[in-house]
Amino acid sequence: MSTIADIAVDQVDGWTVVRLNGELDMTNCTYVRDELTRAVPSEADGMVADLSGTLYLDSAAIEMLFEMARRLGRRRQQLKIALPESSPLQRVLQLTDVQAVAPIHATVAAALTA
Amino acid sequence: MRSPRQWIRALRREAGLRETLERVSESERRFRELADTAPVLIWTCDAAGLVDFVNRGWLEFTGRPAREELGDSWTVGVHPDDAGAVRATWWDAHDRQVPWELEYRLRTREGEYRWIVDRGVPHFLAGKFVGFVGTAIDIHERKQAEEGLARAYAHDHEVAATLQRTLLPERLPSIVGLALEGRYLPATSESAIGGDWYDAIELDDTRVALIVGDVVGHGPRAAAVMGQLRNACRAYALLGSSPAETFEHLDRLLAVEDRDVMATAFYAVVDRETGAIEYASAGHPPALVIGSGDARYLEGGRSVPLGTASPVAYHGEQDVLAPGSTLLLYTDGLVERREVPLEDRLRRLAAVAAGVDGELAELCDGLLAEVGGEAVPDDVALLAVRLEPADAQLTLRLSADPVVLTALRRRITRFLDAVGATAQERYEITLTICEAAANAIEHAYGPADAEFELDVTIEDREVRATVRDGGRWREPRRGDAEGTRGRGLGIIQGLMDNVEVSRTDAGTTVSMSRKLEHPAAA
Repeated sequence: MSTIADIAVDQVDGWTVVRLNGELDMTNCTYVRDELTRAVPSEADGMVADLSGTLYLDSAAIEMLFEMARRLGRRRQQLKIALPESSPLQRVLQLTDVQAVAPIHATVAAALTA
Repeated sequence: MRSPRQWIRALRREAGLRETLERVSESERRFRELADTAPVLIWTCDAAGLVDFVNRGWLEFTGRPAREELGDSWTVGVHPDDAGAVRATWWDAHDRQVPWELEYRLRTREGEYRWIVDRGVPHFLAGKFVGFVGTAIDIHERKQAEEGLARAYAHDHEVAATLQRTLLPERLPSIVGLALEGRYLPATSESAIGGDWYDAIELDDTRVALIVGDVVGHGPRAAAVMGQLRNACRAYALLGSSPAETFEHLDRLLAVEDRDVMATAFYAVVDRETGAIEYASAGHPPALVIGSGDARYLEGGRSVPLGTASPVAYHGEQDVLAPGSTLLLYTDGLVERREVPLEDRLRRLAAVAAGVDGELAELCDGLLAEVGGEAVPDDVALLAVRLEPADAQLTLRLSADPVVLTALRRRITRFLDAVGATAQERYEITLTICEAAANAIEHAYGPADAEFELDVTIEDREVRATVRDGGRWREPRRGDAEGTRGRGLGIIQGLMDNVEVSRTDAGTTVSMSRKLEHPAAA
């Protein structure tokens, strides 16, 4: 049984904002990656992945974020991550050095203005 | 010496006796006349039990000469299977001089046996027992009709019972964090079986649908409708319908069938992580929530039964089941007795349920014994679900397949939640153990039925986890450190206080530990 994640897409100020609610793991990250790739129009500046509603993220999902950064990079687009500082996910993202490819901001608004 | 007065009295007695005897022979003549024209079989016997008269009706029935019907030879015509009962009844009634009645088969002039009902009454003359007078009538048609009915009932009962057995779940799903028990008690009355059902359906990782229903009516037809409803209900539940939507579908189904069938049902969806309940009732008695020492009914979400042939809007209601408490669904056979108002029965059920301690199976058996009572006029279906307190220790053997990871994650999260870990700790420790499990799955190459083992314990606020597999842990190669498994190893080492990996020919064991930060609130 695969994990359930909700993907909500919004276009804001030239950025594609995707809210990833639920759980991301090895059973659904390929699906999520393909959905995200499709969600970003080629004229967009990039994508903000809003993880404020993400409850679980495993190493496969983190690898998926790296992969997204690479794909967007090839299209000269950027990946930013919105994650509250209080989120349990913070330490794992730091530990895996995600910020090296995708800067982490506390909110979507902060990510958009950065 | 007799006085003249005594003589007179004696003569009068004598005259009276003679008169009586004359009356007797006269009445006997009339009796025989009447007997011979009556449409019944008539006989008399003397004080010794020997038949001294049978009427024409009897002779015509048996086709034998009168002499063969007199004395005790008449029993020759009785069916061998009934002869014992006839003789026993006959002589017992004789000894006690009491009326008797017996149904038995008697051979006719055509050689077939026909059922008759024979009644004998003791005959007294001047207070003295002189024998029996008996009448018998042919009841063969009635008897055959009865036997046919009995056979039909027995057949119906068997068909209904078989249907019922095949349609009820063979076993309930086994679900982490939930205890489930179901019971079905057929009605003691032969014709009342059928129609009740229960089912439990695992909807997704956390939610379980529970249903108990009762098709109005009994016998094979009710059991067949029950089967249809049960299967339809499964389908709608798995399509993601809410309790109210499921009822709307089932109601429409019964309307389409146009069969004049009604059913009541209670449907609840329970989230075993949060204890959230969504439920609805289609004219069904309310489900019972049993906590420690108290019990309450889920009275909301009530609508009319399914199949009332009028458009109905079913609506759902929400509630919460606390850990350790039990949700009990049942059919009205458990609470309905003609002589006791339903309210009183419900109060009694709640009181009994609140007083039963122990395992779920004991609760179900206890309720059936206490509330069901000795005779079961209607069949009873019970379904009980208990939100189990988290495990004190996890010891698991799982198949080396990534699909087990989602359930494993929930189980570890539950365990950590119960020991008072923070949200941060819950996520990080769960992630770490699942990463180790993912490694084990990846390396447990070989047979398709490969397994791995996992232990999680807590001692002195320190969580210890061990993951064992039968394969060899690949050394992260240079360049691979950037890959998923390399990242997985980084996560394991970064989030736990201690990590040890031991490799042998038999497999790889990863032992990890991490001290929890804050003592659990008492």
